[in-house]
Amino acid sequence: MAVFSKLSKDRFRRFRMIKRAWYSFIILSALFVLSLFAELLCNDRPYIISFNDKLYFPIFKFYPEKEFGGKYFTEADYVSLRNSDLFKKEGNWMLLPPIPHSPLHSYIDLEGTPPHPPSAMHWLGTDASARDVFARLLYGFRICMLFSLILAGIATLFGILIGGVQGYFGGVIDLVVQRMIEIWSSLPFLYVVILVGTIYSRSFMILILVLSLFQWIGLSYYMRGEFLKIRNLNYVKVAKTMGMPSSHILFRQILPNGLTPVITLLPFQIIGGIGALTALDFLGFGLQPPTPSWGELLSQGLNNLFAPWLAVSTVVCLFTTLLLATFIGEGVREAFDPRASTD
Amino acid sequence: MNNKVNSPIIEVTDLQTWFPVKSGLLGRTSHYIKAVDKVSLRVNHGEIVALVGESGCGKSTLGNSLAGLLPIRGGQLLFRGNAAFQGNRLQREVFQNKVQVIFQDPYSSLNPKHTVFEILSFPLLYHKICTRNEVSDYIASLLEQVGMSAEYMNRYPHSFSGGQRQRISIARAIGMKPDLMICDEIVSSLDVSIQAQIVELLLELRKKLDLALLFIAHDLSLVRALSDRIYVMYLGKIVESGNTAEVLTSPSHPYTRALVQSVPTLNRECPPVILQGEVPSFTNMPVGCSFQNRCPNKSERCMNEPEITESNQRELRCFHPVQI
Amino acid sequence: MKSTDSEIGTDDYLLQVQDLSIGVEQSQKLLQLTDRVSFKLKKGEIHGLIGESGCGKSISSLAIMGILPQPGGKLLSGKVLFKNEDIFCLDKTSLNSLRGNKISMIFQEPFAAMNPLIRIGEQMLENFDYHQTKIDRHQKIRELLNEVGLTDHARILQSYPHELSGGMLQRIMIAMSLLLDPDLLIADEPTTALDVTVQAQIMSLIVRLCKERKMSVLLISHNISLMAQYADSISVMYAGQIVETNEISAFLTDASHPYSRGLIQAIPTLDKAGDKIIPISGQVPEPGKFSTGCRFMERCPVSAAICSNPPPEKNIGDLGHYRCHY
Repeated sequence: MAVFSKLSKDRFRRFRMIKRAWYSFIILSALFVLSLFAELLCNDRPYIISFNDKLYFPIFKFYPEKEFGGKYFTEADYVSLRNSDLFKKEGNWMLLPPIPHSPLHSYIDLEGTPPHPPSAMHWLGTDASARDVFARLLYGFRICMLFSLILAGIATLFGILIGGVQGYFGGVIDLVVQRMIEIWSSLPFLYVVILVGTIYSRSFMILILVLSLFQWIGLSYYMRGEFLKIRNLNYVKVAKTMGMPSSHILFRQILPNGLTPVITLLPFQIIGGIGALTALDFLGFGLQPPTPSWGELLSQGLNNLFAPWLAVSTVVCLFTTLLLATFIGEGVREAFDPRASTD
Repeated sequence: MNNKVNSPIIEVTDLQTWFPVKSGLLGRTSHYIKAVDKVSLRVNHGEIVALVGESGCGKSTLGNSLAGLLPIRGGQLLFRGNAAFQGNRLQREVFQNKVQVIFQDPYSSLNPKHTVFEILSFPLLYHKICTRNEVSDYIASLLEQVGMSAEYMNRYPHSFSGGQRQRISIARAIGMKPDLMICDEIVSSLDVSIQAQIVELLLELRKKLDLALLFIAHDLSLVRALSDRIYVMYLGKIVESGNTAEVLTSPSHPYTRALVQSVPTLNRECPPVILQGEVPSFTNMPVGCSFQNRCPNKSERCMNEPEITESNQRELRCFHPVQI
Repeated sequence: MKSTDSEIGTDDYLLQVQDLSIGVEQSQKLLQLTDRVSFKLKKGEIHGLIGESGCGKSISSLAIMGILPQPGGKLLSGKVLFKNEDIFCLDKTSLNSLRGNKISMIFQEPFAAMNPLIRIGEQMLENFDYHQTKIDRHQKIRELLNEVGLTDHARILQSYPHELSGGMLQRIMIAMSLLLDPDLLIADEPTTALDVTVQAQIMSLIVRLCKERKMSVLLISHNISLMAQYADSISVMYAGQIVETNEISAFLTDASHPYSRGLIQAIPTLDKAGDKIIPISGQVPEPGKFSTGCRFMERCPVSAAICSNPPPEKNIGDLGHYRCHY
């Protein structure tokens, strides 16, 4: 079954022709993929350590302190290691990632009080707990994107399912579900999040679960419309007269033709997800500390206005990401415009 | 051409499809649009039967009702003697896939996301007409039967013209080895020379596969070239039926005559005769015979509803048939 | 500003389309849609233009009013002489004053040609707005409604398009097109969407108006029986070219071009009852994929090697001509 019919290829080609959208897509995807490898790019653990003529690979393997002359069995602190005299003996070297900081490590030994301004060591300075801002932004970006992608995925699934059922069966089912949706969507989702977060712990999965309970509603309206429209087309009628089962008609006949709103809405779902998570973290109802998060950085920035690098860097990152996603969304919308001529 | 026993494949008796019109504050049904009102017809084995009428006469509604796409209000359809309607719903199992439908619009009849192979194979595999191993060859033979090359199997609908798409729809229908095909205006949106090709194809298929057709159309000339028997519909009722050649050369019902005389021919000496007035709407039907306001033979008697009378294998619903 | 009403020349032709070639630019390629289309229309004559979909007849008819396909339509060569003035040489104002005024057009789908949100009366008045005239508008509208057989003026003028039937709307379209007494009426498939009984009514109406007003009609259709009944002369179009032109009875008795003959044989009519219909095999080629020789070659029952060369134009009697090697 082809989703890549000529029509799809045409749309993709049109999307590519909108330079702003296409480049945004490339940039954002590249950044996202890069962030997936954050541990390899931005870590206080080195790739390789040569200590006392033995090779270690701390990023990939756990080594206790004792290996490097420490007393305990807990994980070695590579930051203090690289500064220790024990290490600075002849023959020992370590190969560090390009950004040799972890988002969780507090550099309490630095001069002055946190938050520290940008320097050669810390390109964007440190936050109020003396953690490297760049690292926190990078890891935060990954969490943001993963969160919103997973959220969008779940919301899309529910939106298609519920909207599709409404549109296909119509009648009483449509009415009843519609009323239920109206009641459901009047629930203030923020309070629900807070409540659930208080009762259960505020983990990544719980947050996604709660938010996905509301995110699907928008898409279901579109899918309902698409299914209502498509079920009257002749090829669906023919499938019915040929005795094909409802499951075949829903999934093989109607659904592949009704995916346009899913794709056009996806970038905006992602933007919504990023916005939602950032807002929750800002208010303190989102992910638990010390998870790196943009919202948390923003709130720090607000509380430490004399340290502008906190707020500014986060805002710039947020703005850029949302801008890129918006360009992509606009491009997708234009490419899928049914009135554009296909030649 | 009817070597078989003159057995009806389908026999429709007093079929009624009414659409309720709701009005008033509580949405109560004030009256009905009787799109199909006590229609009876029959299609015998290997016969091509035409159902003609102008727009709004209910012929497409009838086609859709027989296909099970609309709930009926009353009447029965016997398929090979078995009742197909239970209450107001069609029990499709009774047909056993031996009744297939083809629709008018070639552009929405094929799923744009599926290849020709997929379009044709889904029903074949689901209904176990052939196995997965055989299906490719079977589809190739179907395509050849409708005059298309087997290599079109892997193409998408958008690369085909209207006529070719209708051929694919026909292939899809005959793949199920039907006894009867209901063709709802299948050539009306095609070019004239393509219409002729499709008509020729249908005649061929009828001969080769012993196929019966219920051909719904509005083009009398086409129907004359194609069908054995004809039913003429006006405002939801059958007004005349019989052997096509006979009905069209010497129509009995004034409406049929008016229809036949309206059709332009190549003979400039015989210009079309104009039938005045317009078809009344379903909500504004005259009392008694629905054709009376336009009928030259109208009389007092026509205020009563005429019933169908049968003679010489021709049916007629009229008090004042055309005298020859 | 009205264009000056020039005297019609000695050969008495209201409209002369000469070697009209129109192309359209699509993704940097030029697609030629019509190739040296030529036909002529006398005053008071009904000329039929017959062809199947994609042959270019609608494009040619719009070009008569100076409308080229959008986007990317180009006039490659040729002229359209209306009252001996080349349409394509007129400036925009003169062109606008011609359209709807001296040249009127009615289309296949009356519903699609009307604004569904505006009452009929208002839409009819709109025509006058573009062409300032001194005549009594309401009086004229009523006159024309009578002429087209609609007597219930009040109700019709107050109605919206969707409240009226196809037949009535087409009559209103005809009335609208005649408001300013045009010299030429282009009727593009005027009855294709109508029932056969209504078709008879509308066609007889058009013919009557044409004769009464000495108005010329360019009747475009794919229905050869329609042409047989109502047209005085006919041009057959195939794949962007005119393949035959002749006066109608000569055409019907003895069509010269194989496509014309094929059309006549392929179309069932009630009076041909016993004869088998013989379809034309194959399909109309798409623009851009025409052969350099005769475009009908692949489907022609009498084609031969010589047909790979472009066929010459030959005369039939005084008035007709066709394009074939045979």
